[in-house]
Amino acid sequence: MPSSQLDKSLNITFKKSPFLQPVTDLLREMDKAGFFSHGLLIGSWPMLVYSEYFTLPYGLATNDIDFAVDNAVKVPATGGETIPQVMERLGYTAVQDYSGIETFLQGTFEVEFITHRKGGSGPPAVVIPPWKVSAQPLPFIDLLFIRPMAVILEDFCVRIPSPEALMLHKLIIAQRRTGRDKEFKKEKDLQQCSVLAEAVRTEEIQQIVSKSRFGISPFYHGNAAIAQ
Amino acid sequence: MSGNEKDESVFSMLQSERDRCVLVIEKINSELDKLPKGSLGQRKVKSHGKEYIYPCLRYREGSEVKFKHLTPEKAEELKPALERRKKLQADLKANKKRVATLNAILPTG
Repeated sequence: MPSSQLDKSLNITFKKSPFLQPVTDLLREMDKAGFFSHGLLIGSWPMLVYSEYFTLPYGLATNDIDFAVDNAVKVPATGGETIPQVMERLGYTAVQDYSGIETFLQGTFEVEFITHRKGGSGPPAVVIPPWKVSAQPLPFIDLLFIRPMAVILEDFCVRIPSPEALMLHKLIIAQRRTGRDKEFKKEKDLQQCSVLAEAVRTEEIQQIVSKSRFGISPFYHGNAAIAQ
Repeated sequence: MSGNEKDESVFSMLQSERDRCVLVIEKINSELDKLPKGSLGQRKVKSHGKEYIYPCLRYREGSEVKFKHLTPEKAEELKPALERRKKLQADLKANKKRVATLNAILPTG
């Protein structure tokens, strides 16, 4: 992808969706519900967009589909369908685990909602109005909302984090992974970073860092991750 | 990225997907434990020359098929839970199949 094209816009257009049909259908319905005005597609699926658009050597996506919801901004009520209603209409079954985190299942697809967590601890799940969807609060999610990209697919539009925001996010969380598979996840985060490094723009990274509310500390730790 | 590193990353991704499917199976199983078993049906009973039809819940207990007499209201009440169970069982089957496929691809040990 030539840098002159990168500078023009943060929007991407695909004549044909790069996603699997069930994922395309889900994204179309989420767009119809107005979700992407305050939501993003996150996880490994945006990597598919970047790899297709920037011709990056990364095309792997698991069957979990994560969405980030901006809870900091008051979302106006649309009066339309709630997210659980949309999911049910599409054949997804809502399942709650013991901690109250809600997942929507259909076959091997698993859809989860994530929101930004301020501070070190909080409830395991919060309900986001007006979509009435239960989201899991996690730190540093608001970073993904800085200067996101619009992806126009066929007849609808979704938003994903910019490659720069995603890379910074991965660099930060790679250092903070916990749990039994933390080493593997850290490796995966850094692997994605090394792929994204081919597409990111230095000035865009500077813009994101200046707009973020974290200060220098997490990025300092991020640098440690780059060194690894 | 070298060829070996690429192979490694593909296997890691597949392993992660298998682990995720295993967790989904656990979630589905714990949800299934909360739901009633069986399917709704009707039973015909002949008594004093008349035939009565009543709704019932058919379910298996070991090798035996059991029938539980239900009121029409109770049968209606059970319908969504049984449909949910059926849907989750299909999801469970899909995830088990995916785990088996991934196990066949992934190197053992």
